[in-house]
Amino acid sequence: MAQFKAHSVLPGFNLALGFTLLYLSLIVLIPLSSLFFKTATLGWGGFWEVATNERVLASLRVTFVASFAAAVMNAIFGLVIAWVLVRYTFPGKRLVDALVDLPFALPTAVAGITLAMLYAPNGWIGHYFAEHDIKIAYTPLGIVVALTFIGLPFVVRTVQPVLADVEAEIEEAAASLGASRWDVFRRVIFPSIYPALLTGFALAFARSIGEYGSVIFIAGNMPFISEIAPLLIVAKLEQYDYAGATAIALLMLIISFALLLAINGLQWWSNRREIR
Amino acid sequence: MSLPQQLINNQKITTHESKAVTLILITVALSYLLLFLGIPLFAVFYEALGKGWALYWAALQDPDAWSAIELTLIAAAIAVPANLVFGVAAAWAIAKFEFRGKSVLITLIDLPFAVSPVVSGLIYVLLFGAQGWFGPWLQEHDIKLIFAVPGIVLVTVFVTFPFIARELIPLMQAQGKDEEEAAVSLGASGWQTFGASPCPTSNGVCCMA
Repeated sequence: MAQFKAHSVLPGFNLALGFTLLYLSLIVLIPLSSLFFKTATLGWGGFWEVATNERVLASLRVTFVASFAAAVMNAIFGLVIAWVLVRYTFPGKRLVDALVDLPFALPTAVAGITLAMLYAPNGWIGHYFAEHDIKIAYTPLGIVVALTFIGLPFVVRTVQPVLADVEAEIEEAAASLGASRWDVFRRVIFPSIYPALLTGFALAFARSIGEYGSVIFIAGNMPFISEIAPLLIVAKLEQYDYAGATAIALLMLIISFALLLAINGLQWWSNRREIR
Repeated sequence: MSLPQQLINNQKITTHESKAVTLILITVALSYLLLFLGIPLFAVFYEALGKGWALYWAALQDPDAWSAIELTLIAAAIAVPANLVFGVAAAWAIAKFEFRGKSVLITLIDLPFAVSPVVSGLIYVLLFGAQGWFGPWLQEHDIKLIFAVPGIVLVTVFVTFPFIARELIPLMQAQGKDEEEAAVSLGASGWQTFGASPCPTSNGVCCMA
């Protein structure tokens, strides 16, 4: 068998990993396993029936597509915001910096109600779009808006400290060797913040998949169009159909796990390539 | 043009963006923040205080509101330190060592985010509720977990589980392990090495607020 762990002189691996696995099992794995067992009471046939239900499939599509779109938007603009906050000075910067954490602190339901109000056709922001016949609130676009709000701090807060840590000497060295500013960014700065950016993307994406509170107020919740999967879970719970609810939850869990593993694997793979 | 002068011109190092680019980037960042965060925040205050301070003050006098705030703070006060210890341990193992199955471990840490809050409540009810695995045992020993403070704490720990670990991992990775390796080679003990390594946890903590 190949070695499980590469040799390192640093101490504390067994303690750190052991504690991580213990805590992970107690808080996450054992509770999540109850989803499997509850769903198992349905049997394969029952699970398949839920999993291939058209309304369930449509809601899963809405959830994952909207989450992905919001995460992409946040990755792009979150990078710009982190850059601006780390590199430039401008009046009110500290205030802006504090503002970024707001979605973490604001209860999601409050966020949802406020966003729905703002982006409704007669709202402060929505009426500009309504003039061009674009409806945001109560459409899938509204879901993306809410998820963008929820996910933004993840990207900014993961990229920011790493960007601040990039050493100026390397940039100066690259520039003195004749690299243009764009080259320096592309070849020197970006590779070092890329893992953090991917982490932020993964977190924003994951958080968006599970989001419930803010979305239901702005989505309109029309079946097949703007109904998210967590809402279907709640609907099933209200009918005391626990096994049906856990079946959808399990389905979401499996898809999220696969997608997140792909994103995290990408990061691991690019790290490896860099070392070589 | 004399030679030295030319040399200086050639060596004009550009480690800053031009004024125009700087301005554009700041404008983009600020408008995005304004559209998605600034205006919504203003609207929240506008709505909360729109009917005057008196009404807002009256809402705060409500004892229910205060006990709700107190409960939230208690749950946070337990969840944050618990996840902090976990976060530091996990980040140390993941960022400083190479081992198999790392991606899977990271993904498992991410999972609580992807689980809808509705479901995270449900799984604990499935575990500890009257019909759950541990429900009968808890009832026998007269321990109330679900629909009580410990339940709230558990769910808070669950939903904030990935925060600190995931914030620390990229930072620890970016810092590399040279300094720690130097410390070990100079004869520092395990805890000494860890204590001396730069570990800015404050950033992660503020995110939990």
